[in-house]
Amino acid sequence: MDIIRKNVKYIIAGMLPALLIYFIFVLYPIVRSFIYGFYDWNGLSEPIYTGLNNFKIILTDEVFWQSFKNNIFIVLFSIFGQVPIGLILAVILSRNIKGAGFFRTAFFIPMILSTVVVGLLWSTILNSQVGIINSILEAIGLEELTQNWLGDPKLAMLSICAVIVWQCFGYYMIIFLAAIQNIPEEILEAADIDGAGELKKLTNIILPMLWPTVMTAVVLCISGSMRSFDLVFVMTGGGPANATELMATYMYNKTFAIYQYGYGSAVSLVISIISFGLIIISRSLMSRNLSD
Amino acid sequence: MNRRVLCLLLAVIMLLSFAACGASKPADTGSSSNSASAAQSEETKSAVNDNEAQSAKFTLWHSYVGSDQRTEFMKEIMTQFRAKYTNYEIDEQQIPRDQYQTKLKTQAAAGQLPDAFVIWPNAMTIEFSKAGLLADINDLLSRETEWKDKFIGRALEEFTVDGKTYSAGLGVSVTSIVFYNKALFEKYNLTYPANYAELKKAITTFKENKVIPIAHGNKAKWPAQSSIISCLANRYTGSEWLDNVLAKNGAKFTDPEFVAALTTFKEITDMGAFNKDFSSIDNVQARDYFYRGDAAMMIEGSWAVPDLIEKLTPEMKPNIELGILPAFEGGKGDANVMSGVSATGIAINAKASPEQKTAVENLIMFTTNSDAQKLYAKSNIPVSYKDVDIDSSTSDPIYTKLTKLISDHPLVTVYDSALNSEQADIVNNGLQAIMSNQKTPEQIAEQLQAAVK
Repeated sequence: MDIIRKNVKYIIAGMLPALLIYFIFVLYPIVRSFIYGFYDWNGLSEPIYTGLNNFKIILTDEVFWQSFKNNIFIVLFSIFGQVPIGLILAVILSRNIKGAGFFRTAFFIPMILSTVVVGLLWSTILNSQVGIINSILEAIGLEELTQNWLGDPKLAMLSICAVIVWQCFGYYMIIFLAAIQNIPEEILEAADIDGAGELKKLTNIILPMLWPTVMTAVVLCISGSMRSFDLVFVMTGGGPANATELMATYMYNKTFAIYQYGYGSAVSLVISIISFGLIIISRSLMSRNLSD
Repeated sequence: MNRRVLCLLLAVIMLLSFAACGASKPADTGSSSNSASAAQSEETKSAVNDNEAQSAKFTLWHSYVGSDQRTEFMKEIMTQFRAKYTNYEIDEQQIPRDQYQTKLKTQAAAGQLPDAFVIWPNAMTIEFSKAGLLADINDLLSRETEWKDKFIGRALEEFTVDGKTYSAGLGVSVTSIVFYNKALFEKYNLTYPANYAELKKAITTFKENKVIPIAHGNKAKWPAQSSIISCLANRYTGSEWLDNVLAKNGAKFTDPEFVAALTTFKEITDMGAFNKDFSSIDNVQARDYFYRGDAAMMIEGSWAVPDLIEKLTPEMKPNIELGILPAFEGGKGDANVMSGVSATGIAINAKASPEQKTAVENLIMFTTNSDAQKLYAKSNIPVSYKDVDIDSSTSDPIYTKLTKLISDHPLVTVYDSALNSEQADIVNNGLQAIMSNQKTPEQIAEQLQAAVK
């Protein structure tokens, strides 16, 4: 602390360049873009100040709320999909079973693929005309189960979520694996001596000791899901008929596809507020848990 | 103490290097561009050159790059242009079509448009000219009447707002051509449909025989609107109706004719006329079904022709014919028309200096004069002159068929060219909603009408 106080001038001098860049290229544009949220602006003509009008429109904009719902759907699907799958796999793979190393790598591979690759890959797999899923279903005589996976508005969101889970569960698996390895050996040995079975050890020792990690995973899930954009952008572009529109893709489309810069900025401000709210909720969730 | 000196030294070095970075860059480019232009002017002096054009430096943005049908054309024409006008220094930026409009409009929002750039006719020209971003070429047109008079009407008209013309189209884009596989029609004893009943019969027959009736890819949302609805709606409403709707002149999107057009579109979709994955693949992917002979028809624009010529197998090629949408009973429109617009054209920034303006005007003429028109034909792009001497013995048979199609059928406007970006977005998403049974034609019509301001 003393060193910091003594060197405060040099520290400021050293940080100044970075701060300057940060202000000019990050903070200023963000603030500026929020200000445009109060204007009606198509990017070409002069912006017209319209006060809260954009926000009033957002309140009744069904596509925006549809995309909000889709975001929440992804959040829930991720929390109840990725986290449990990751957890179960981590528990299984932490044992000395045959081929654990192979499975660990295999499950983690989707995570290191670029989202565009994942998107294109699954678009082809899920394709309703030539896709492998429908072909297999037809080949084994389950034709009535074939679906228009990405083209049916009722199914498209579900298909996207499944792909997100496929892509991300490996990440949570690795987090949980690391946490399981941190559980002290002695506790498990003590449990063995006391005659606890495998299930008892899992529910009474491993899970409670993993709980803080689970909460971290949930927070990661929420923040990751709120900013999902790329997978939907690649796979459906928000279609069919806005069925898979997310808040971020909607903001992008409004701003950069139909050039309502003012409205797009307002949407981004609302997204920031919503995300901020969710982060506060999840943080309080976490800190309560840590203080337990 | 030592550490303090070291710390100070580091901070100073960092600041200095930062400042040096900032300063050296412009100085560098300045000197290099100076030397470049010096070298160039020397070259100009020494070169035997018969044009007296003033030297000028301008930036040009265009989207003729990558898989665009005009890529080769642009490469060749720019080489020729540079060779002819050696004293022009052109900074040419090629931006892929998908990002082009976004990038251009973002640049416009920042007030930093290039000196010359490619724009789309109708709605975009209106938008840009109303914002005072474009310089007109009326002087040029009145000066070069011989050049001007050779154009087909829409190549200039669609770039004209309130009597001022801003560009000239580099060719024409027909958006609703029905490409069909004659062999498949013959195999199932069908003739190319002339009316809706025959179209329905063809669709059912193909479906029964496991042939995709119409290959279609609408993931990008605009193909259904540009290639199908623009023409289909015209069959029902006639040509003046759309102008009247947009001018609020007694017509409305909720009029029964337009709703009938959307309903017919829904019927065709519900019959299973398209490949099942139409909403999850794009139009380029959809062409594969047609190329492989899995699909009997494909409704696409003239931009697909170069791709078609390149990818069709020699056995397939003679089977491919070009047609227009059939007539629809009770429609008010002329059943002989198809939809199309002028292709994009080069426009001049309102802020360009007089020298730059002259230079870009030369470029506009150079990219649309009769030599350029012949080059369009060579790249299988429909021309924007009334008469171009095309050698049919060297051009591809499909291109010859396209030229004949265009001379036989007048063009009517395309929806996304006439509608503003918000309305176009509603139609595009609306058609997806109709095709996936999310919304009824009536709901889309109402939504559209609400966006007419």
